[in-house]
Amino acid sequence: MDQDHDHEPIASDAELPAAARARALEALLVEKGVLAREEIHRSVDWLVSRSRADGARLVARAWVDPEFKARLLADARAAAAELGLDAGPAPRVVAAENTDGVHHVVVCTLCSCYPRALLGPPPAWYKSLAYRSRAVSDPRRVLAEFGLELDPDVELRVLDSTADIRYLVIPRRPPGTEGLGEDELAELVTRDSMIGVAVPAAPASATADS
Amino acid sequence: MARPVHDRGGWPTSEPIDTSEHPLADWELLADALQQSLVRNRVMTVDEFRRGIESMPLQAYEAAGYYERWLYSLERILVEKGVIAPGEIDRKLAELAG
Amino acid sequence: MRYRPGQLVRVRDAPSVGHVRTPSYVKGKAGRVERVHGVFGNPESLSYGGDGLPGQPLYLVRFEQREVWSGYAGSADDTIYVDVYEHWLLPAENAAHFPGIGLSHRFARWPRKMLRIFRGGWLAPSLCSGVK
Repeated sequence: MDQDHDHEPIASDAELPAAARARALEALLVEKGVLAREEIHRSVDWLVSRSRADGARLVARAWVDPEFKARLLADARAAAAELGLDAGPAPRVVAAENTDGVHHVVVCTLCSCYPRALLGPPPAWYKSLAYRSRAVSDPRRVLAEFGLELDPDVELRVLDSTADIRYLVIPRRPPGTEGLGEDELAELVTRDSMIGVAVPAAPASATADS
Repeated sequence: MARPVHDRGGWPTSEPIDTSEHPLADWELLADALQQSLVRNRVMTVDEFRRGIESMPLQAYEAAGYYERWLYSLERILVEKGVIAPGEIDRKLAELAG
Repeated sequence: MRYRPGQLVRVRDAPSVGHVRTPSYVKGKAGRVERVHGVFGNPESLSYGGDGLPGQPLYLVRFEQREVWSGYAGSADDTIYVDVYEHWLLPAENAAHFPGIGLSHRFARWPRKMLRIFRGGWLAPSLCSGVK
């Protein structure tokens, strides 16, 4: 739970002071009629339902349909709605396209803003003080720590989500995927590639491009 | 003038980035759900919630886990708004434990 | 809406009092407006129960990394984009960098070695007109 440094393994989360405190707060708010228990459960269910799947669908559609991609770049919320997808409660979602000359990576240095509706809950590292610090000041080394070495000629664009805009990276379509359908393409689009610390892998069965 | 505790871009650090996955515990999902529900019901704004986190003293902010900061803020803002009384969570804790 | 895409702006270098969404690392830095997101409630007011008015235009501002961080270890072309509210921006009177900088995004499809020639700045004004 404490993403920022090492700690002793915890036997059960109910023993953590914070866990007990969360339950006490829930009990109080329900008793006082501030929140209904059912609503709290719905919020849990919503969060648990979120994964990288909807973001991946947007990317896969953008890869096969250039006009959809243009609409996604202009207004990601509206483009998501076209596919029946909920882009979440944030006022604005902006998609940023990686090209052969530009690679994007997203961070929220001030807190942990993240397109949860489209990608699921953010990974612990995204919320860590170390990532929030170095993703802006030393991004190439951070990407290298994730195993991604960028060509020096590629412009690395860091997007710091400092306001209520959520950013989603459209990674480049891997080579050797020409024969794949949209669902298969979506499978290749990882969460980390939509944050920008990774690129999607080419499918294992593709012949290698030289 | 000290930089705000949450203003972490370029903050000097030698902490490595732990790239492993840490699935959310039940209590963390609950903390998240409480925040979502409180904001959706306009009990507080997301801006007030953020301000609550930013009010943590530096050492506490850095030592706390992510959702521990969330709980700190929810408690602080709820007390500030008079939704819960100071100490009321501690009393409820004792009641649930006893 | 005070600023337009392409306009040079400078982030105010002022203390962060209360809930401020302008990160310290861009304070005092000059950048270019990339996009205007629209008008939003002011978080500095909303965070204390205020009504967020007057609403503030929010801009996506592009900075050159090597101007933000002394000793930046990446590529000369690397950039950082930050969402900044209008009340934290000033027009930049004179950018402390080559005039050609910030235009490279318009030439993003050009071969990169051609960009390096233009980056020197003295060719940029004659190329501004007539480029798509």
